[in-house]
Amino acid sequence: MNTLHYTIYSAIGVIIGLTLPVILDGVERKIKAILQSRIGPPITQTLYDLVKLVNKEIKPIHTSPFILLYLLSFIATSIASIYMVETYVYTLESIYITLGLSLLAVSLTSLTLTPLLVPNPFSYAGGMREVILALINESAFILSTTLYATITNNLVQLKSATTPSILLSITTAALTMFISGYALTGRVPFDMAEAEPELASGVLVEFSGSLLAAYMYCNLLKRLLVNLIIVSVTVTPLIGESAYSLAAVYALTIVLWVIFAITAVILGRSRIDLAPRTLTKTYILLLALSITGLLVHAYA
Amino acid sequence: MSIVKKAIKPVEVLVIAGKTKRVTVKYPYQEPILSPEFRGSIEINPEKCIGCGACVNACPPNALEMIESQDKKTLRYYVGRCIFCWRCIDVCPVGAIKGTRNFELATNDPLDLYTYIVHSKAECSSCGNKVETVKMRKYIMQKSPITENYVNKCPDCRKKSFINAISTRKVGFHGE
Amino acid sequence: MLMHSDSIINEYVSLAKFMKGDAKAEKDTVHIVVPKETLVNTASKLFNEYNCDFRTCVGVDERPLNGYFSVTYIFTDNKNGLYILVKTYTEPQNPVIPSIVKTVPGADWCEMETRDLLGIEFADRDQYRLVLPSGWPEEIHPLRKDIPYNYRPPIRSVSEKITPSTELGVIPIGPYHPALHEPEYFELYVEGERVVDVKYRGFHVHRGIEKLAETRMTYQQVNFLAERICGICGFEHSTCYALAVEKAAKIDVPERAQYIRSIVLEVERIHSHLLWLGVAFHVVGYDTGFMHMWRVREKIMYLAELLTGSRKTYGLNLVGGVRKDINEEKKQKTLETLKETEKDFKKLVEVAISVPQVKKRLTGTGILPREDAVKLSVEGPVARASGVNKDARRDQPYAAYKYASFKIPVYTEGDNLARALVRVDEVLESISIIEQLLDRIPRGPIKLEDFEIPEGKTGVQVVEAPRGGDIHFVITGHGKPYRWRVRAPTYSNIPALKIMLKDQPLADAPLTIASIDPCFSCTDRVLVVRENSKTEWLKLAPGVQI
Repeated sequence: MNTLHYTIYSAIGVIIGLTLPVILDGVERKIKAILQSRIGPPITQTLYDLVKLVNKEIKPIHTSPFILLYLLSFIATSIASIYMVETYVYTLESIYITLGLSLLAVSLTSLTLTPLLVPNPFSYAGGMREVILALINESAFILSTTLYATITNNLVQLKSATTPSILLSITTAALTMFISGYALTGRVPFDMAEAEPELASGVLVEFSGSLLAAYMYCNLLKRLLVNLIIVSVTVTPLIGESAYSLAAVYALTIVLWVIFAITAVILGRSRIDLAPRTLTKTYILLLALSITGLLVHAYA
Repeated sequence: MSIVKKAIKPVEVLVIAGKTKRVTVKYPYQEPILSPEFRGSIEINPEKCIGCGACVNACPPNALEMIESQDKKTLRYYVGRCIFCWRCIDVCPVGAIKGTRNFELATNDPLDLYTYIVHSKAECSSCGNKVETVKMRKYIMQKSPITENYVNKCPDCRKKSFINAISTRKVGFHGE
Repeated sequence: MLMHSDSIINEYVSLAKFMKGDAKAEKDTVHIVVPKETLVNTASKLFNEYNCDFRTCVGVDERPLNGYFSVTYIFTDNKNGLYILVKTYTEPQNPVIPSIVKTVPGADWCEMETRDLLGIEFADRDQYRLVLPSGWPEEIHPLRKDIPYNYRPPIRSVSEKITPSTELGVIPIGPYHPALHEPEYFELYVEGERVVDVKYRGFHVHRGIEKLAETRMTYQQVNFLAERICGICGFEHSTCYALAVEKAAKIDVPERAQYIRSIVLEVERIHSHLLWLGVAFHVVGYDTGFMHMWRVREKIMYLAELLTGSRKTYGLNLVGGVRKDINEEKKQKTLETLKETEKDFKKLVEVAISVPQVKKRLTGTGILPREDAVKLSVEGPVARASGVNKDARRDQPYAAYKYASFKIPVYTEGDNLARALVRVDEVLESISIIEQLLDRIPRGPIKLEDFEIPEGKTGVQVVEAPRGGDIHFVITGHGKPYRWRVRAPTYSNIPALKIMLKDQPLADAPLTIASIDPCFSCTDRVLVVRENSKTEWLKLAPGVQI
């Protein structure tokens, strides 16, 4: 496979990556409805919603005129990040996954700061909660993904023996990656930034028209990006380099999205003082185990 | 083992959802679920109605109103105020009101919501006023043994004649 | 509870005489009349020594009858199942009555409502405007007999602004807010994520029901009006009204009608508690529980429509009986539905309470200690979750409850989870009550055809609504009530919110507010239509002006 093929496949992958979240959100709503014994909206409902919003006017808010740019910059950095991840899938060099993760961190910053730009006390409260959760979840996600990617790459490429300590290290890193990835997608139990009833007057009320459509789309794109990273890092070392690896990665991303959707239906919303505490404790424990396992393997 | 069981308990909701299929109905493309006892709007039969006004007295929100004019008495039913309690059906002496299962009553033209039943009034032979309806007079003739002395009068004149008749019998002259 | 022993009634009569007043006992009601000067002492003795429960106070404009205003305080003696009415009169020119709020804190709101609607001033307390909007003219008191029911005074529109504060954050919830189902206004003063104080302003949808019943409705029509006081607990309002009028007129309702009333009351209780559980799950974010709970509730709604003809606002009660009977087929259907519901409900509650987020957020939040619950005279599941063993079905038995045996669930923790568990237990008890009553229902007529309602009689009745004790007070008049007073249970429960919300995390505020199961339609009772700061006439059709 030469670089031209890679570039074409990656470009097609980026386009798929940009359109998939809208359909997958419709699938998620349908699954939620089935599990709640009702018929629910059709799968294309999210698409209809976004199209309708884009056709409406934006009611002016007293904030920076560049607020749309924040959201557009999120989309731009996400595109770059998706491209990096896809390159990792084809080349299996960890530099690309590191680049992908740093671009993820940059894009998430612009998205997390958007509620703080809106002059509404509910929006500030929601924004602050979002910042707290982002700090905890992002650091855990980046750390655990890097750990997992480096360890598996070394194992696959250097073909070194698998000892129990390295297995422990891998499983705890994977667990942290899945949990923090799930928390990053902003589903129940961690969607408290906007969905808490007493705060339901923040960003989702102030934004309107194409601004609101852009905000909703960015949240969906964030979910896709996180899923893509998790699946690429887990699955690619097993498949190796092949022409179909990107297709397999996207297929498994869809499966992971469905699994996350089912998990969201079963749980309730956590509280802003309970969630960070539980999450921090869990992450510190798991990451400590992972690093210990790694050190034991390295020096034993 | 029981700790694992307790942790897995929330997942049982999937089992519950599996047992009960979808319970919602694609209304208006499918029929809504109504029980046999459902109360909808009412229908008044203009042939049977005698214009007595019993339903107007009983109606709690005043959806049924009697509009008086010189020669006509009109019963007006305004669906917008009706609470579908069916009290009018309970009290109608001739059974002119029927209950239906209609509840899809929205319309673009508010005048569609009014139903009018117009009765002509009968003239009183002594004072010349028109007070009760023709059908009401016929109903009274059917239901009670009333003599020609009273049947063509309005209720007030009937009362006066009756009192005069009694006072004539007892005292011997017309009282006032 | 059981026999009204003469000794306890004699004690009340001698208490009245000691306070320079007079007393008369009629079956289960003791009417006490005392002069103004001894009112506070009488109330304090009843509340503290005899441990009577304070319910409400009623102001009556009796000037057409005897030239005075009167205020009646309603207490109930729960251990003996008695109603104690303490009445006092005042002159019409400058009506002033000493306030009992220092000894009975629960009397706060009802005294201010009497002041707003009748113009009776209360001495020894700070007075404030409670029910009427701020721009309402001072001299117009709507419930006085000389003000017609359709009189619209010129209102100066005053917009009420949020209280600014520099040290604390102020979060306004309402009057229109996605978390609330009815308009009310809460101002939460927060420090970070902790609620420090609460201000409440309600009465946005006051509809003038009491005035309507006194002026343009007949006795039988008021049943339908009473049913529409609340969208969830309407049937118990119409039953309470019918029972109060029947008590005042001393009408003997056929037994079968009383059984049917109790059965439908319990069906209403089940549907109300299922609704509340669904809403509580939704507020915590567990939408799946919400959808499934309302799916279970749907069967009960169908059952209600089968028994009465309508899913809500049943239109079943009349003074003197009920309008629809329960035949054999309906009885079988009821028993089947209840069996299925019980199974589904138990399974669902088991699964839903085990969800870790639901459990963590319900436990230990919104605590109401027992002493505060007793002091503020809270009602219903809120009281029973704080350890106060109070239930009108057992204490003042009405309709057919004396023929059924049931338990009253009481928990002591006083947090949101206790309130939820009280309601869960009550649903299971209700199912058992309906099965018992259906088994023993006697044959006979369901409605009394001929009866007379004498004028000038007083009737009081407490009915245990899903939210607590609802009390109706009726003074009969000519063809329609002379005075009708409704005190819904949420009226007593809202002042308890101040205590429950203090020092709680902000995220639990909607959950705590929802846990008292607020029914603001029951609490307020009038409406002022206002658009663009001028009163607007609603033109429904040519010639129809409201």
